[in-house]
Amino acid sequence: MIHARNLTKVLRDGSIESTILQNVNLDIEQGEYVVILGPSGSGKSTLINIIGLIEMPTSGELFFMGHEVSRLKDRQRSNLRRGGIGFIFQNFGLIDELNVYENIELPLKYLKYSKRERQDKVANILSKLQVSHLKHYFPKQLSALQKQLVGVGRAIITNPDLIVADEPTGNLTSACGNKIMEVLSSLNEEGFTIVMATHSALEADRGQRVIQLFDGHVVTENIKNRL
Amino acid sequence: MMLNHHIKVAIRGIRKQGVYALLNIFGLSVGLVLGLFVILLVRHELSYDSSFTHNSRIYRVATEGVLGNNNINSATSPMPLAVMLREMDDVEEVVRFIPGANNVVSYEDKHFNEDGFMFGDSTFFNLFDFNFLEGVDPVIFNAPRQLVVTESIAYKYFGKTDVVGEVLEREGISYQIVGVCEDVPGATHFQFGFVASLSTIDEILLNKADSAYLENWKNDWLYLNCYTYLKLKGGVASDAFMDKVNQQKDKLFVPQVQEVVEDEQAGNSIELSFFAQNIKSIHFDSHLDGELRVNSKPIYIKLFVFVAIFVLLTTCINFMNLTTAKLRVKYQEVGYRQLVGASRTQLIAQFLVEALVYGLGAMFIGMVLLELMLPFLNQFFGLNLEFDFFRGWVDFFGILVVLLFVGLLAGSFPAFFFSGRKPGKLISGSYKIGKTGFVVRGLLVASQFGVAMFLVVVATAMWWQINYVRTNDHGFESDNVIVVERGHAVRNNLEAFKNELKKIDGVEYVSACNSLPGDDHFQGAFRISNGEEERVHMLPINYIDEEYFKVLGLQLKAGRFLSDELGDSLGINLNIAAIKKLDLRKPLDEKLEVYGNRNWSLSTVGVIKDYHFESYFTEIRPLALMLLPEKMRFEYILIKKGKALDMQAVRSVWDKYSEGAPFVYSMLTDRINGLYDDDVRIAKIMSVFALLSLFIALLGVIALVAFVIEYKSEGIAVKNILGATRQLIMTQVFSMYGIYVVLGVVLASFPAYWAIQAWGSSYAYFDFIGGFVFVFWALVLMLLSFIATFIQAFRGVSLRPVNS
Repeated sequence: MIHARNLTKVLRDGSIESTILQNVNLDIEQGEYVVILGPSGSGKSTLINIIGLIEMPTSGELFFMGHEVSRLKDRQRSNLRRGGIGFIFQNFGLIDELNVYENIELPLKYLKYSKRERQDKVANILSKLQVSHLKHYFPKQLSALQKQLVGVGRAIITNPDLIVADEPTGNLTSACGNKIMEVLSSLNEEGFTIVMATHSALEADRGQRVIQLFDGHVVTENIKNRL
Repeated sequence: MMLNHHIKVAIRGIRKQGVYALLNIFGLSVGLVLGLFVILLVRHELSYDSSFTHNSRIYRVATEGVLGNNNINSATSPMPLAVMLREMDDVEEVVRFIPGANNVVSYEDKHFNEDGFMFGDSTFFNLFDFNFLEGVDPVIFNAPRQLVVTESIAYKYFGKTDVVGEVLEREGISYQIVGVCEDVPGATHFQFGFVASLSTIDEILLNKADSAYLENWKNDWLYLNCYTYLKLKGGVASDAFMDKVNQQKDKLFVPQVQEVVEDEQAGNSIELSFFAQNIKSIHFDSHLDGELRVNSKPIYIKLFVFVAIFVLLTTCINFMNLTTAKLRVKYQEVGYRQLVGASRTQLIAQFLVEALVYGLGAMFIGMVLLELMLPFLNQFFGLNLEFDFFRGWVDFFGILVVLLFVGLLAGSFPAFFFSGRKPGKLISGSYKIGKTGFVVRGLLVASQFGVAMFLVVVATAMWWQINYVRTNDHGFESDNVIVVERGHAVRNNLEAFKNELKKIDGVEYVSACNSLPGDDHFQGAFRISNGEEERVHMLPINYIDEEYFKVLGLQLKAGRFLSDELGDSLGINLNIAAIKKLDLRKPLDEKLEVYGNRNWSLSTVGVIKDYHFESYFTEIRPLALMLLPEKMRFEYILIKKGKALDMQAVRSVWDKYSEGAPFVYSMLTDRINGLYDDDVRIAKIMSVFALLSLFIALLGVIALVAFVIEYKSEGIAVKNILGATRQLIMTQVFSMYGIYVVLGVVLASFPAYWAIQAWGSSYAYFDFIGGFVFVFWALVLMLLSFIATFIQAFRGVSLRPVNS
């Protein structure tokens, strides 16, 4: 599903160049739950942004669903993202002016789903995540866990090919983080492909495969849960 | 579908932002009120005379040329012109009218001074199509002494409009009412309450002079005694037509001129020609002698339009600044929306709809404010503007266009600014505005302060000048001088009236005269010989009695004031300007001949110092003062009073001698101040604009400071931790944009200087504000901007490090 070859990312600030990623190779198949593990500054967020088609690599190749995407224009990448990739953010990324129902519904609106379809899909998600009772609440009225559950709901509402989660438990207590991890695992069991970045080895254990990054290099690849 | 979503988000955003959003909306609404007000004002100015059907084909024929040493540039024209015009093929209608003097009109025991009495040709109402409430529509006069009155006049005298057949008296002549028309719209370049048949003039003149005079009055091409209007047939070009008129006129006019020149043996040139002014252009840009009303000055309209556009632009800029001030939150929101599937078009639509929702709110508040404030604005500015949103589709669409313009303009920057960013940088919060962004915002603030500076300085200059014309030494004393209108009512017993008045405590002097400062003066033609050549000069004349000098406290330069006792019926006082113009080397030895009558020679008995017998708009012209001939009509009684005067006692004496004429009086100072009413009104409008633009500029500072603090919040928090004082941080915030305030203020000084000069050029006597006024306002504006920074920054720099 995703194949990366020699991905390199270099940032330039004036005359200073920093290599964030260097010659990263990886393959992610449909239905996998891959965790990118690394300390701060290891390049995991950059890698996950490239996989999520948010950023472009400086060099190398990236195939997404059979398309070479590393040289696509903004608009083309945006079109692939829309409905095809669901994002879960560390700080939830909810729109303050929209309530729970509307936040989850938002991607469907942008994709111009009919009202009936939207109602059905949002109701399913609310029920699946057990947040139906919160549907009229606004983000500022929610706990951090509830916010992230809504964030997850919004990420999966379009039934995307890939879920990209960047430190999804970063703003949660460990108990709440565990809950989110459970939700992600169950989503993976349902067939969702998930790529998650984290700096926590404990959370990394939840994935089927762990790619460990350090200073922009892939240092180990653990496939212990693959079987 | 998305529209609902955008509107919902915008409304919730407003609720969420609370005071901040209200400030934003209120700022926008202030700009819109100003914009709407200026639109009303300009529309009113441009609507003059548009009520007449086929107004594009209606023209006033005015006169220009040279008469002796005098240039003629007059709205009036001679009576025979209309006769000639009526015979020309291209003309559909020709109408003349003559405004009557201020006289008493009576019905039973009701007597009022009326200065809106006109005499019009029989087809007056064919050309000027007023609606008739009573009588045949339109009334065609077919006999002398017929009269049409307006609705207001009908109510004033009869309490009803059904008055056809009723009779009104004026100067001993009875007029029968044959029609009642609607009131003349305010936006008309002439006003009347009565129109009598022009043929009545024959009777009036024959009462005062012989038939030869009447014939001369009706046929003399050199006597500019009426206003002539014509309607051209469709498709006729006015310029080409006027060329024909001037050619044809020469055949009739030149023989008369030759006759005059031969009679007078004068070598002076006499050349008159006519030109056409479209009726709709008169109010806007005609400034001839003898205008029927004070017309507009195009510079005001340009100034207002400029100010309105600038105020609207600056309010939009504020909106952009306030919208983009909360950058970090907005950036991330946009990033998230992009990642959950929003296309760029959808994001742009969201911001534009948000701005339109703000605009709609502002427009609603603005319209309510305008509706509530318009009566006060009208009263304050002396206007008669109407605002009715639902009056017509044009208004509705006009407002819609303004709303769309403001909404799209205000929303366009955030829309394109945010939607074009890449989501990765937006959600990471690492997106930084470059130096250019700061410079652009700084320049926007500079432009706002520039406008505020421009307006406050120009408004100050206007008040400065108004104060100057009110308080400057006019060369005469206007304080404590009472002007009684239509003094002619006591003409038959003038001496007895004066003597009895003087017995009242507080009355010092009493005088009679024909013209007051600001009035049109009689023009007299005089022939002067300096021994080598003879010249003819036109001089304004004021007919006065001998106490006039005491009432006004005029000062002598040489000789003596006119005196009855010394038999000065053939004497004349000239002012210094006249002495210079006539080039009289020994004025007291000179004699002036009345042009056209070589037997009537006047002796210059005194030279008086120049005084402002006209407004400060014109330079002090030559003036001749002559004693009122017996039985000559005069306009005013002037009473010089001491500190206290029982006006009831004055009225009693008036009633005793005036044969029932109404006692209408005013203070001379007020009348003189009234000459500048138009400029006072403009100064008031400019002052209000200046205040509002100042408010908007300060709002701009608040928006910018909000932006700076938002942008620099991390830095500020760090400085807090490191122990920087609040004052130090605030000074640093101020210094980031203070330079732009200075820049705006300094750069605006140049156009302000130019605008003041341009405005002042309409005055012959102009007192330019000193440079210190510029410095004063520059300092005030900078101080205010610092205070605004202080208030806004106080909260910002108090950020606890942990929150940032």
